[in-house]
Amino acid sequence: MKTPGGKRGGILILSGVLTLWISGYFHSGLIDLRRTRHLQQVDPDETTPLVALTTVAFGGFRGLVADALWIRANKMQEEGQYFEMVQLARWITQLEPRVPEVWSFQAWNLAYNISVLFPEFEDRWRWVNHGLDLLRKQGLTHNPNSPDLHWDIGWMFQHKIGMEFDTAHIVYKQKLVAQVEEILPEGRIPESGRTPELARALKDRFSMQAEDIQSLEDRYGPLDWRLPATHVLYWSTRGLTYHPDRFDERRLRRMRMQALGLLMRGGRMITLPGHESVWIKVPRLDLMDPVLGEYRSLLRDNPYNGYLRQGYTTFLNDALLMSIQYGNPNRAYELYTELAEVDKEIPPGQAAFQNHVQISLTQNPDTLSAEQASTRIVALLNQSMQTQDPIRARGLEQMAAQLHRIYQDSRIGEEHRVRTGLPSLELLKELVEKSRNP
Amino acid sequence: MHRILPIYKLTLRSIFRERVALSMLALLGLVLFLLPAGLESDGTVQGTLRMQIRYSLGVSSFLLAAMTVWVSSASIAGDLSSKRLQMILTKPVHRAEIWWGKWLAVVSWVTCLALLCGGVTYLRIRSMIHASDLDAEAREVVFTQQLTSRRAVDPHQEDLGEEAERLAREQIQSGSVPPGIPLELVVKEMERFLRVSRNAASAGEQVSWTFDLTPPLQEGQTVQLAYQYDGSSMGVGTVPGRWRIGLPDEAPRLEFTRTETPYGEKVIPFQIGKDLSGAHQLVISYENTSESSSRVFFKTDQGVRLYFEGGTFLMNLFRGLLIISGLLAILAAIGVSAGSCFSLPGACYVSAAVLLLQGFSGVVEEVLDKGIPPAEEQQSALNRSFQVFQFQVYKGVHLMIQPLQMEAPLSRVSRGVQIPPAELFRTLALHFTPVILVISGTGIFVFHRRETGGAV
Repeated sequence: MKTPGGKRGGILILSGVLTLWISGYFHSGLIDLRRTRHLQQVDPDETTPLVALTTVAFGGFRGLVADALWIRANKMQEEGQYFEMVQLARWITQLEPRVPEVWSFQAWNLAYNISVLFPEFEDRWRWVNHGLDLLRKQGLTHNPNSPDLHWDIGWMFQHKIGMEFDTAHIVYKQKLVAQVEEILPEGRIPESGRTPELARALKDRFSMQAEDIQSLEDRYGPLDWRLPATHVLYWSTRGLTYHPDRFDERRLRRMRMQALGLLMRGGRMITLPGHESVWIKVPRLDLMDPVLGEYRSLLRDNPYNGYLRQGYTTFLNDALLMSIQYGNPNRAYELYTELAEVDKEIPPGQAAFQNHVQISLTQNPDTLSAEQASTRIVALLNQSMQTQDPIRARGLEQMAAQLHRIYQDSRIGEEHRVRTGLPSLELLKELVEKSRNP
Repeated sequence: MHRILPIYKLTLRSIFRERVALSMLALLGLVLFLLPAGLESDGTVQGTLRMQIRYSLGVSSFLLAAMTVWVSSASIAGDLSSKRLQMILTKPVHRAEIWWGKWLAVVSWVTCLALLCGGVTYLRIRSMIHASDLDAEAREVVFTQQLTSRRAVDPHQEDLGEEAERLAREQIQSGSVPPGIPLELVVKEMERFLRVSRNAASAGEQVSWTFDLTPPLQEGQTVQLAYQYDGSSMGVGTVPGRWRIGLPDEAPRLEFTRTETPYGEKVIPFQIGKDLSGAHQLVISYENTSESSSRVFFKTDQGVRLYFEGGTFLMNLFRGLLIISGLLAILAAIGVSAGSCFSLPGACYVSAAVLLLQGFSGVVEEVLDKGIPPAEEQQSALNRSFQVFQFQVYKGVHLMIQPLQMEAPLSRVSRGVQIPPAELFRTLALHFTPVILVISGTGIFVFHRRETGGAV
């Protein structure tokens, strides 16, 4: 027999269940409404449970908890106890998820400050990767429209991985190649086109959108995604779509143009099986005109922008030297004429052009960066293999060998050699040969 | 005792009826089983293990402390307000027996839970190691430097007090110290300066440490030389150095050359040969062989240590958990005593405040370390007196929490540093027990004088 209390309890439970069901019924509609009316910066489905929980559970105490975690993170770092840093960075950022600066700082700390404290290059890469992942996999989830975070990711690719300041940069580049090749063989989007699986893999691994990749490839032709510069191009271009302020727009645009310049000088990577740490980058001269077009259009809109003008003259100079080295003197002269028009300190005319090329190409190899030295040697070897004249071929090869020797001899100490040294000339020859017969 | 036991049983039974305690128990279960899955370490097995120990057990300990605050405060205050205690007080039971019965029940309950948490964590890390694909070298590092119990020996610390005082007086006389700064503070700073200088080596310089060893070294024994230092040069560079190990006034017997990035703890394992066997003292020196001007600074506290094999990880974890239980026992004593004189919310606030003070003991120490700030010219007498009073309050707080001060047991366990049985005994018997006795005495006295008839 039911008691009156039991009956009341049954009604209460039933109304509880009913209320829950009604709330659940309207929930998806409300989420859609928030999404379509842009009531929340982040897609409600994308918010991680931890952020949702901490935002509600800690309330006003969130700041205090974040402060305590910052203090602990500093203490741990001072004591050299890095094992907790990833977790602490994650918690701190999740407590202040809408502040891009917090994500930037934590990612920079992991990728720059902590990574270099490890002697083993593999360990360093792990930290650089932690920093990158913190930004692209979590930071962007909570701040998808932040131009700052896009710039930060681009900068890590451009500076930390792409440049030669870190002794471990070769390992970083190798690891990037390996990561990309897991999804994209030879670093290219397959000719069969993008499949939903590929799009998902690119999003999961690199947080990149297949449509954005496609749009870049439509504009600049097939890109080699194993190169850090290609990733810089991707992130800077994407960052520019989020209506950055003047400062962010300027730095993102500069980053983008620098990436395009790098890709023009070496936009195709040639590797040798069994030599994972050795590669060359072959120029993509076809990028010259689209990039010049972009520079011209930007300068039309911003005629007094000094940085832009400087970038343009640097690019023109690089382009004319590449044209000379790859057997197109007429094109080189056209570019020189344009350079003389932009930079009033450069004298116009054929004689001045000859002089400029002579001085630039015989620049002391000691002063070249590894990238520049490699580009020059590759160009000389390429010309030597291209010419039908055996005496000229030998001469060009000897020049390449001499440049290689002087450059390598000018490396001071083991660390400098590891960081900025070049592969052996024989391997370089093999790679150039391969680039000519892909 | 025969009258304490029924109180003990009754209290245990009432703990199981407490909704708050049961929810905390559920939370503890969640922390133990769900938190580890969400932890993200630096990607190394060593890092993951340390995270598991420090976070799983750390958060569990915090929850246990919160549970102790509630359960212990409720044990008397709660029973008084629900009139359950009045039933017991009609029986021929002394109030001290009630106090002890309640305290014992709370302590045994939280100790069991602490040991249970330790057991679960231990099983989890064993299974993690079992499932990991560690190579032989990494496995060796894990089992000799982390999942172990290493007896730590610190170098002989020179007494620098006299020299520091002489230097401090010289500094004051030469006018280098602004007026108004007390001598005591200048001496402290000079001592710190001397200690840092004695633990630093510029390029081409050497710094050495003497270790007194009991028992003496044995042939075949493996010893670990662990060190932590910072570099003076800007940026991150490697520093080449040479470690020499030998007997006092004799040529070094072992030599190790290292080129490393400063920061973090580094370990050099070495084996004791015939020539060092039986030694009661060991001299270890470091020569900075860098050609640049970079200077290295070894940490003055635990910067250079020797580690000897000292038992199993499981036993060390057990000892660590016993120390934590000891701390919880003090908290329980505070809670039960506070419950004897305040209502339940009041008792909870008092116990939570003590817990908070213990958590911020580092801040208290920092304030005391800085001393009373020197008087300012424009400062009013009232303001100055307040500053002095404030400092005295900090001193009092520090005195109160001093018995509880120690190197965090979980941090030691997670680094594989032994908590020696003698230290465990000393801590429990000489530090914690007197504190518990004083608190219990106060609590029983207050409870005895409390009018319970109208308690709500």
